[in-house]
Amino acid sequence: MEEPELVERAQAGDVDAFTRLVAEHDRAVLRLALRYTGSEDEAADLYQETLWRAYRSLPRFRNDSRFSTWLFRIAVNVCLKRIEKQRKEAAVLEPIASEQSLSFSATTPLAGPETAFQLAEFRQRLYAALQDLSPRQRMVFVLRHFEGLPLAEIATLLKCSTGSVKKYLFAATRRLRELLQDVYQETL
Amino acid sequence: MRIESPDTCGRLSTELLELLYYGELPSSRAASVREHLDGCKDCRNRWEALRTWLDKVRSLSPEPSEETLHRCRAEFSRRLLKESVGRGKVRPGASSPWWRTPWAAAAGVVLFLLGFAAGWVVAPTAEGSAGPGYLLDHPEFYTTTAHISYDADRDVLSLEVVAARRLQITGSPQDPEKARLLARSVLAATNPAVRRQAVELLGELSPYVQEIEPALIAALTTDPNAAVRTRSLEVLLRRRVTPALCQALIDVLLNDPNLALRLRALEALSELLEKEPAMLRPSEVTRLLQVAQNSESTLLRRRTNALLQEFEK
Repeated sequence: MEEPELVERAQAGDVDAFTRLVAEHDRAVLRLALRYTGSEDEAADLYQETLWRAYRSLPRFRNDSRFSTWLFRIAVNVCLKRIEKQRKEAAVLEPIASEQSLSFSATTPLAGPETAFQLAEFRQRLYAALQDLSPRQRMVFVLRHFEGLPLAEIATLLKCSTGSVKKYLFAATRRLRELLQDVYQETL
Repeated sequence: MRIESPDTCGRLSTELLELLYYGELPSSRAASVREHLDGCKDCRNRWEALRTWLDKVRSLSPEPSEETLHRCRAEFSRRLLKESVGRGKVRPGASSPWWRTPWAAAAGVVLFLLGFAAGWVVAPTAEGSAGPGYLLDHPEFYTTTAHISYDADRDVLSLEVVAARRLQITGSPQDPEKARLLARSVLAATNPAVRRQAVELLGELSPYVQEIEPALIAALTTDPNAAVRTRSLEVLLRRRVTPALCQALIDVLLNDPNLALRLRALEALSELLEKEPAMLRPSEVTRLLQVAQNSESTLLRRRTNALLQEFEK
């Protein structure tokens, strides 16, 4: 069955059609959520919320974009909203959180051939550093650097100009270089 | 946008190098930057460092495991099933509470048809406000013991769940819709023992159920509990072969964490394909090849290869 027919059936309330429609694209949703949060549990949670929101919003889907693009856009928004909400909650509970997150930049530098342990440690530090970025900076970095989306496409997804996307990207990479300075220094 | 001034030699900023790295510079600009890099050692060093660093960061991008994806899909299937049981055949986007929707009346009818004798668990005064949805929203009523019986003289099927309180669901098995509703409502139970009973019920009612929807097949074969999955597979295999079942078997083969169950799925698949080889679509052959090449089990790899060779003949 082709995508438009599946969409039509899903919009008419056919749960199986929706499941089949989503099965083609849900891996990308989970991957984005995982790359954005760095946590499998959080990613699984965001996956559920994205798919549920898509299911609920399906009557508003007008076939003017591909279903995959529409679903991915929902995933991006769900991720952004979640982090914004977490930040607001954290700001109320713990106003010094942003200062604390800087402390990992001074850990032992990586040297020589990396062991699995070192790579795991670096990944952990990378995700700690990503948390220091604003939700949009982090999203732009993930979409461009990990997902390989062109800047123009990211601008469409985030409903902003390509210039703004560049600003977010440069700010993100600059901040990551600062926070992971020891790793960056090694490459110089 | 304006690119900020560079760090060292004065020609290429880090931002410009980043755009080069991401392939976001117009081709003429990229060529002039590359030309400068060829002749400027300082900028070349910075470019190499930036590229190495960005490559390194990219190499750390996580990939979701098959297991997590499998778990997410199963959970979402269950949520959809629960929704469709709790609200009848729900239309996506419906935002009104279920008790204010037209299906509430239908729920009342279903309740009546199913002959819920729920006593004090289901409020007897509001016929339309109780039904499978009520049960699903109150998992505390589920328990480890459930008993299914069929009184042939009276043609009455009973599913008795003993919980903190006692609940009985009874109805004739002759109505396939009833059977499905009954099975699906219990499938959403949090307790695996109750789900296992639901599977048994489905098995007993199988002759009366014309079709099991792909979503239900998926929920059965991806249940978090291995015993429920194993029993589900056996119940489903007693039925007529459908493409959805064939697909579910390959899903089990690819994703199930239990090796014994994966081997059983492979065995069933061999039997099915012997009878109906047209059930296997080209995309599924590719998925089988993945098992044949990537499975950590030698036995599974060998048997899948044998199946594929047999299929090629």
